Amino acid sequence: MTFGMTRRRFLGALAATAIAPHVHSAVTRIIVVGGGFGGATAARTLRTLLPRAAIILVESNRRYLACPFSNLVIAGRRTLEQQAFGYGALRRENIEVIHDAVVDVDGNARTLILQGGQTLDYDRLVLSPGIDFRWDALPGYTPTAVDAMPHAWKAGPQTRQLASQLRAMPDGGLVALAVTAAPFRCPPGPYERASLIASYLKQNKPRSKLLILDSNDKFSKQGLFTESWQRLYGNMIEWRGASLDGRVRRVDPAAMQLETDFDTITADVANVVPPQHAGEIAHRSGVADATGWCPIDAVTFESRLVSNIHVIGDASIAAPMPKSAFSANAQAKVCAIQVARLVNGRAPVATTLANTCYSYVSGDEAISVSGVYHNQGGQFANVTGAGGISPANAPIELRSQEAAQARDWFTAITGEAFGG
Amino acid sequence: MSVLIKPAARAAVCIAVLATVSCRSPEGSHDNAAAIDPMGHAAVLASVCSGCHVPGGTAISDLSQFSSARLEALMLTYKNAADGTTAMHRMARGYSEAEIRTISQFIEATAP
Repeated sequence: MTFGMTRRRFLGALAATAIAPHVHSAVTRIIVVGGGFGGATAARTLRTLLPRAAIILVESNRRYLACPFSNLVIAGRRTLEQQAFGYGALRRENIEVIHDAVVDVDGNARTLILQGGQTLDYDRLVLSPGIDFRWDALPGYTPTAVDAMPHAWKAGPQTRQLASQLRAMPDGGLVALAVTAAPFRCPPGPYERASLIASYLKQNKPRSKLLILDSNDKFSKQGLFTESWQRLYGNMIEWRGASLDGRVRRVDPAAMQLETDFDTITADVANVVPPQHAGEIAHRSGVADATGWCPIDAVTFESRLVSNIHVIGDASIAAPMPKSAFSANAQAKVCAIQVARLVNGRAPVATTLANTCYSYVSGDEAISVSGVYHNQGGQFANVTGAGGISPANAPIELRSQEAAQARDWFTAITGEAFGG
Repeated sequence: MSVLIKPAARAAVCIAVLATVSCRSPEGSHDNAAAIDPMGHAAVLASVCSGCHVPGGTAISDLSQFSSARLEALMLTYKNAADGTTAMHRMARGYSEAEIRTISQFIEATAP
């Protein structure tokens, strides 16, 4: 992946928007870039709300492999095929699906250029590019390092790679899980992964250990995870937070070594959740700021840097909403309604949003965290008195019930994004 | 910021929804017509629900089985149960009684 082509044109775009001599076609054209939970949901919602508009989805992959539940694939509880979703339903709904990569966006001219050479013009653009990895941020962790030390933080071949390494590992081996500093995609994801790797090891390689080397000092649902790890896996999982020398400073994939400030750990399997930022196209479009993420208006999700471009999902700065599939799906629906209102000359309308993230602590038990958010000064804020996590030390039946809810949630959200 | 208004497209959308609601109906009103404005305040407020609730759901209930009065009563129970710990308790506490009524009416009005 190259960032050499990055162009930041937002200053020009901001200056020129009001007087841009843009030639409009007769039909309103909304382009959505990125066919994940955010983009696919946005395209389908826009299709419903704007029956006369051209709705175009640009996504390079012909099928989407979902990250939620992919930790169950690593544990051997699901197949990767069960994570795959196509775009046939979107096409049948008269969404034009183009499988190509976007190489550039010109927010001033309101055009985007595809790798295939085609130029598309838009009235409004919805970017849902997810994340890309910052290959310059963790010394030693290069694009070629991922074979030896998989990230598996985008579902696909990397998910298989990590699963097969665990299967090839000797009993009594060490699995290291390096977690980058927040913010990153799916805040509870590393700890769900630790849980499900441990559940695999307990059944298949019970003398093995899992060491979490964390660049953070606290994590999502920490008390619930820790309690579950003790109950289910004894001392198999060891967590080292940043203050306990858990921060990985450098990796050596050839030697299978991870270096902290004071220690060098040699692992049999090393899973690295690497430093991240908004998907590459966000940087090329000029909608990402110095943090690597995309500042947005919390009512419309319109970029604060380039007008007529909306950014949803993991790439957006929507904290305290987490970078989750649930958030991306919810933001997509809200953003689509606001875009439809703007196209129809109606003022945007502020709303309340919510999120729930389920995490498996074993193949059969799950815990959850919820939040409710409102708009406050153009940003999201937690609604006081709402949100929270599953109860501590709850009966196993309650954890099983939440696992059943997680399965219903997955059916609902994949159905809404990709159709039946 | 420039907002594109395509007169033809706007007219089409207005025609599409005229049968049920005026394009100029006030936001947040609770009559049935406003409740089914697909771009209205109720629609945007209720949009989050379908991320979990679908027809046929079992562990997460299928909302289409409930009347708006029943939905409202259930949501208020979740909101007001001080010792409730489910995801719905945690989320319902974040919505006002007026929002709960608006959401309930919208869900009933748009149920399949």
